[in-house]
Amino acid sequence: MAEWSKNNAACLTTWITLRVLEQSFKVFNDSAAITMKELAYWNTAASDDMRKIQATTLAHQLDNIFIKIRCARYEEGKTAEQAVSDTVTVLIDADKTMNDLAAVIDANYLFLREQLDD
Amino acid sequence: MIRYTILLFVFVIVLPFVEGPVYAQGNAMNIDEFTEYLAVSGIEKSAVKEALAALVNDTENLNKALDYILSQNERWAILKNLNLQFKMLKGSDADSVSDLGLSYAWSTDIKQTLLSSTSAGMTGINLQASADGNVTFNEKNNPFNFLESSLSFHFYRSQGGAITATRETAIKLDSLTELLAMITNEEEYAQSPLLKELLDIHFDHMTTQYYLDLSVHGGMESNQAFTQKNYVLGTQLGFDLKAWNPNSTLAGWNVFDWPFALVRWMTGTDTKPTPLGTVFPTVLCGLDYIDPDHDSYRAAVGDSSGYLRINAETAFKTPIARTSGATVFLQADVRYFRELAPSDKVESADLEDYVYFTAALVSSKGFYAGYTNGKLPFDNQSDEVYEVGFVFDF
Repeated sequence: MAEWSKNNAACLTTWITLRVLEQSFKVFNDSAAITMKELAYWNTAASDDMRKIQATTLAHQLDNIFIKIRCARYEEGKTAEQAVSDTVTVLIDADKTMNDLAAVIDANYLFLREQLDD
Repeated sequence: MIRYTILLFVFVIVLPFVEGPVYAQGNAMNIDEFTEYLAVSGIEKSAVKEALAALVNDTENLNKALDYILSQNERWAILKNLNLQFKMLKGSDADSVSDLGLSYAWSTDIKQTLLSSTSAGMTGINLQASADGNVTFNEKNNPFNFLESSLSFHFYRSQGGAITATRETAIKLDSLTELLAMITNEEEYAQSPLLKELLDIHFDHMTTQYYLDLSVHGGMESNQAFTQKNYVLGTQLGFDLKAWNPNSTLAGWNVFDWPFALVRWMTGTDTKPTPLGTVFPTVLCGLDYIDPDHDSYRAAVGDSSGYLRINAETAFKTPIARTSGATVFLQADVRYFRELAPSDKVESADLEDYVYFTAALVSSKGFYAGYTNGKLPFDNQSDEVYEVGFVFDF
């Protein structure tokens, strides 16, 4: 699992994008262990089908922001549908953390800072 | 059968991890041998069995063992998307008792294909399998006695959400993000002009997103003993709407959030009443053909024929107060099932429709106050439950 670090572009971008989307309001240092069920979208009363629809909407919007606004690319061999599907798998797991989400995002997206470092 | 499956799971798979000192050293022994082994040291058999019984009912220990097993992805690759959790479950009746239960949820994308991906949105198809439910040692103590397994084919479309930014804008956002990540005080972070600048840039590039999911599915729903069982074939439409830009017209016209915008203003969370465009209710609706293979309630009234059932669900969650330390949310969910053209027998037994409503105030610090009314298919009585409590995460 990736280390939660300010030096990791996926950690930084995942954290701030969840703030932009009004899902989590914690400072970076306190965010690694935040679980998916603590995100604003998680409705404990909703059915699993409902939660999956909401998680998929959120995963598509994370993809929109990463690709269109933050100028990220997909990692070599990765595709948009795989990236979204992997993100949804984490988002619907109550006990997965923001660090887990960042690790999956890191595996699928090459962020601008990483592109510049190459 | 479920009871014996859980017992087998606990004693064959979980206990060896919980009882590490004895089992993990290669001297595997069964429970009787283990108690004999300790008896030699002067420890009463009854005391050992009592301790083991307590251990088996300790959901924290059991879940630690489960986490260990499920984290071994190479050994248990088939379980990659399986969520298992032991829980102590208790019904809402005053005379109901707590019982150890196992909650499971499994979902996997068997095959997915992207049909189109443009700057406007993404369209694709997807074949999924899923199963979820709750089982308890004694079925009578299961307050959530409803299991579902299904195979589904989805057509989806995500439209809008963002417009393309320049590379310079992305570099600027990266710089702001790095500076904001240095802040360690939540109050300072929330009030930071850097955060406002970053949010404003994002909002200028964010648009309204629509997500649509149309699916056909086949599967089975049952109680845990499979004494009541339905085969289901149907179609479902899911719709989610997000006006991500708070300055958009649609965000201002989220009438569902108007009352809560007033509450946020009155509690000092917002400086003026501001409805959120990100909290429109999500809607699911569908039409199913149900073949009641074993449905004792319907059989008891003399109607075991297949029938069409419409179902609908809507869910809503919005913040009503936010401080630097916690956010309080109002969440609600309502589900409705109705049989089309029910027989007189079904109608007279009040089996033609089910309504289930639940709403709660939930604090990110753990406080929970909820109200539930209604029943789901296979529930034999309508419950009205008020709950106040605190949720701890260990």
